[in-house]
Amino acid sequence: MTTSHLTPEVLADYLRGELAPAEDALALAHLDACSACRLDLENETALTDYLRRAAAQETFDLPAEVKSAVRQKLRAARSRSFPSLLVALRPAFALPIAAAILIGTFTFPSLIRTIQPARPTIDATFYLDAHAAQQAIEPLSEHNPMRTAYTERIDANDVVR
Amino acid sequence: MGAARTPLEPPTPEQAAFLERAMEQYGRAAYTYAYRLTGNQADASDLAQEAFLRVYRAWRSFSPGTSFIAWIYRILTNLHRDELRRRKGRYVEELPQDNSPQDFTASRMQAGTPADDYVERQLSEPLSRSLARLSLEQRQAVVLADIEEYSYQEIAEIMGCSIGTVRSRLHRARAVLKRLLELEKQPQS
Repeated sequence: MTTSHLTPEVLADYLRGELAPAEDALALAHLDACSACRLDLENETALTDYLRRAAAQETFDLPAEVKSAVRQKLRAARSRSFPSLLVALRPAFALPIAAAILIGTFTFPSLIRTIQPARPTIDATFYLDAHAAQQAIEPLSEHNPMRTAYTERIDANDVVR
Repeated sequence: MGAARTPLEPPTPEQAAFLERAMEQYGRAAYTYAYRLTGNQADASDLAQEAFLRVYRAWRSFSPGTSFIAWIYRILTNLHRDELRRRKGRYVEELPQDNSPQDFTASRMQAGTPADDYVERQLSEPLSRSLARLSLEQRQAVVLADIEEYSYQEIAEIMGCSIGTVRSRLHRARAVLKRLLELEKQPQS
């Protein structure tokens, strides 16, 4: 048992269980034997109890105006994030844009045609081969280029398969 | 409170839901803590509003599974300190040396600076009156330790200081409160 009395600091830490195990054991042993320190401990406990009781009577809901102010700021942030869309929807901007689209459609119809979807195309080498065949001097001879061209194509297909 | 440093980003549905839930579940605790720091409802409202906007901005930095309320207390603590610093021009919180005698009645009550007025005004409740006699750090320590029942380690994380500093601030605060409460009891007895 220690002979010196426990300080208010040690008592407050003891009350919270914040002392190191060895210090805690010493404090406990001292309190068992010292009525003066037990009284001091009661005073420390009383202070904490008072603070908690007083605090329990002074709690406050988050005011509704605080919630609405927070929400208002978020709404403002949301509306700021779409300025171009909002501007475009105003009549002063929307009408000229619509007119420009209409005029463009009638003035440059070729632009519309270019927008049409692409069609399937035939490989250009097919036409080259066909043209070479038509230009051949001896279409049915052994040196017929058309035959050669078709043969090569078939061979190529066989390889692919 | 001070103006937001950066503009708010538009809320995503997830973010807006997070904020609403935070205000619903922790609004009372956060506002009450703000009140204990500021000592009046007008400043507590401003502080709580700014804190929830911070929650909204920083919602991704909150780690699920950790204490949300400790997180928002930390936000409130920092915002309040920044606000006092802003009001004072430069922040000098008169925290006395741990070993020096503290004449709180002389140093705190006759001050009259904007920051002191900010803390002292509109105090009607006994607890608020008592807490207002403490320095800001002592007030934070005693609220978090004695009222909110956080451990020294948790308080150190919230206040951004060492456990030893928490301990000394708390002990000094309790010594002041003990003297104050004895003084307040005398006229009644």
